[in-house]
Amino acid sequence: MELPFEKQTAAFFKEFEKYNRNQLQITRTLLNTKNVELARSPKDLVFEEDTVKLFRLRPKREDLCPVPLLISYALVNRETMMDLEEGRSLINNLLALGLDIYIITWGYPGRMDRFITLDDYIDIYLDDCVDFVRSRMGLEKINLLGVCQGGTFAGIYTALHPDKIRNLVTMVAPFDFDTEDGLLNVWSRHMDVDLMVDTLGNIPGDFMNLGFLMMKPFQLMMDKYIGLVESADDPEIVRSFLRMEKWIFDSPDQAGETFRKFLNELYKKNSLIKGELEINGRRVDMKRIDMPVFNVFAEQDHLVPPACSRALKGIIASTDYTEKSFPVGHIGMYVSSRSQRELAPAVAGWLRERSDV
Amino acid sequence: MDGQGKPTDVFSQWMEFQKSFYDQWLSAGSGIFKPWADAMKTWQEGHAAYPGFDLFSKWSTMVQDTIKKAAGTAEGGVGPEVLFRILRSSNVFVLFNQFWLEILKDLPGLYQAKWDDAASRKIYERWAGLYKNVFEQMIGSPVSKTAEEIMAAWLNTLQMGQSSLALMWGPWAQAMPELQKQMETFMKGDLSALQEGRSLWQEVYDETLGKVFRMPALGLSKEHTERLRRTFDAYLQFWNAVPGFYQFFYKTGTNALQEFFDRLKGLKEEEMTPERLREVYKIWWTTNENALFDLFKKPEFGNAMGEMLNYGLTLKKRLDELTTDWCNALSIPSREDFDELAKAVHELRRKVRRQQKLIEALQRKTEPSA
Repeated sequence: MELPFEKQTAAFFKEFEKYNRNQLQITRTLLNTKNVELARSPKDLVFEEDTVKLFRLRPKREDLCPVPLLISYALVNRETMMDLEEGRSLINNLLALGLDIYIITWGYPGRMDRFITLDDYIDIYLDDCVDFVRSRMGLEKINLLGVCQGGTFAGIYTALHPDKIRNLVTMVAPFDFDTEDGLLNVWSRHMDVDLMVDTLGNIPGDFMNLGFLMMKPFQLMMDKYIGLVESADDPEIVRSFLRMEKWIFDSPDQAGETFRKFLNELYKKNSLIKGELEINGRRVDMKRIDMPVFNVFAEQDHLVPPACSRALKGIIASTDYTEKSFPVGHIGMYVSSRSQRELAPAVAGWLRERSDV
Repeated sequence: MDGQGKPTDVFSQWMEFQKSFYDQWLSAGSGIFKPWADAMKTWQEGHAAYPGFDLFSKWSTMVQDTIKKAAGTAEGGVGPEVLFRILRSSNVFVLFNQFWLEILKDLPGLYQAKWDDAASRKIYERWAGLYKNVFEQMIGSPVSKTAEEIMAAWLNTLQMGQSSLALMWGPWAQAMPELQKQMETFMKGDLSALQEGRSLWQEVYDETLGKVFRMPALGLSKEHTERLRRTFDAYLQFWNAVPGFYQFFYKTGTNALQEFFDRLKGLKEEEMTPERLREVYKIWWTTNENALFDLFKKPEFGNAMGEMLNYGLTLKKRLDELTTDWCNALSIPSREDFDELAKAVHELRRKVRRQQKLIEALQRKTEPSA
């Protein structure tokens, strides 16, 4: 009787031996690798309020788009993903295409910040950043781009202040939370969010990360490291891997009260799409979004399934609505080679067409 | 001392008696120690009947007989009859001894009846009767109604204590064979047994220890005691929830492994056996990943995860409450103090911002006219 893999055994051993050699090599490479840096595009701090900082990216061209673009990233992880490294930087690509970019860094909420609410983030911090850019540029309206949770913020903000936003761009942003496709959506139904916030105060970034890793445990906790070992000979690949690793685990805690409202109102009650969400006592009416909207989503997104993003179309009043998808995952939107080629030109082109002063 | 040189006072007589008594004692020899020697046989030989229940009575009778004989030979003094009556008062101890012997005899029965309220009550009632007899024999008149009531109340309290303990441990003892059976079934790979076992544990726990941990405490340390009990409760609940969560991984992992082998078998049959270890590894981890993804979407997994998370959070909350207690006792700012401060700072920030906005608006109003 022939044993399983009897013919392949010798080849398997050779492969395993090579893997072991690579493990030694990766150790050598890591020992000789200095700390990696992210978000290296030059920028200047122009405004700050509490933990929030607003930076202006130094433009790369003279012929700037006349309407500046304010980027609102998610509170989860950091905006450095958009400027990961040379060759994998949406920010860099957008700058090269002549956009005038401002970007918000939400900061790291500490214990003293646990009472910062969702209303504060949207109706105070984001509003103050928008007002600052408007005032600085002498414009009534500016362009707003929101990423992931920051895209939801951008949508809510635009519904509350349509008079301040000229064009809205959302990327991998959830609007309809009632789906069975996303594990976050399914799991959140079983969580006692009030107990979490009352007990933990701020929700630790590590806790969030554990949840994200659990969604693809074999890939994210094992296979990617095996892939790294296989690329042990290439220091540039290792550095690139380390940058991504640094981004993944650079997870700010979530301000407790913000987390409470975001999970309870949006994930559990789906109140945004039902038109029941209130911010600072005002109902968020998404039908007030009547300006041009560009909605970008990832077809293989396991965090924000496409249906969650695409729901935006049905709840706004905009007649100039554009949708574009990429065959990538949530993070692939910023780092895949295809999105590097196509995403920035699509966004910059769409904005420039709609930003005549 | 009389003319014949014989002592006439009680003390002298007593001294003489002592001398005579020791003579008798010696002559009694091994007779006096016989009851003790009999008792020792039980332990030395291991098969003799235990004589301990009436050991004291036998010994007391033996001593009294000896004294009677000794006193009978003494001359003068209080006389053998009076002396014997005085010594007979030691029968009080015999009475008590017999009472306790009866009580001891009942102990095995009481142990058997520990979860039987009626049976234990019967034994306590018998004890009440025995105790009444002792009193009557000692005092010589019937025990008053009040004394009987006091006695009955005391024994009732004892019996209720035992019944309470029975309520506490009885369900555990009754559930133990079933829990053991379910654990054996689980060890053989039937995961539903784990769930059933956990449910049974929870049911018994809620009826017994859970009730104790959740009941109100009394007295000066009421608050702290209640916090401690709640913490124990949360700790046990959390550890009961943990296996409920991990059982899914065990089951899914086993199924995924089976699927992995099936896939390899299928490839071999199609003569497409992977040529590289990397390919085999990829089939293995993707099979597992897909199996887990399917698992994660199931409501029962979500429930188990939510349950474990909630119990874990509750445990942390309880520990935090205890920490707050200790912080307060040591004058160290607690988490609650920090939260209070954070809230105040947050409200202050909002207030300052509103004022700033107001000032800016006023400035804008005044600028055009200037």
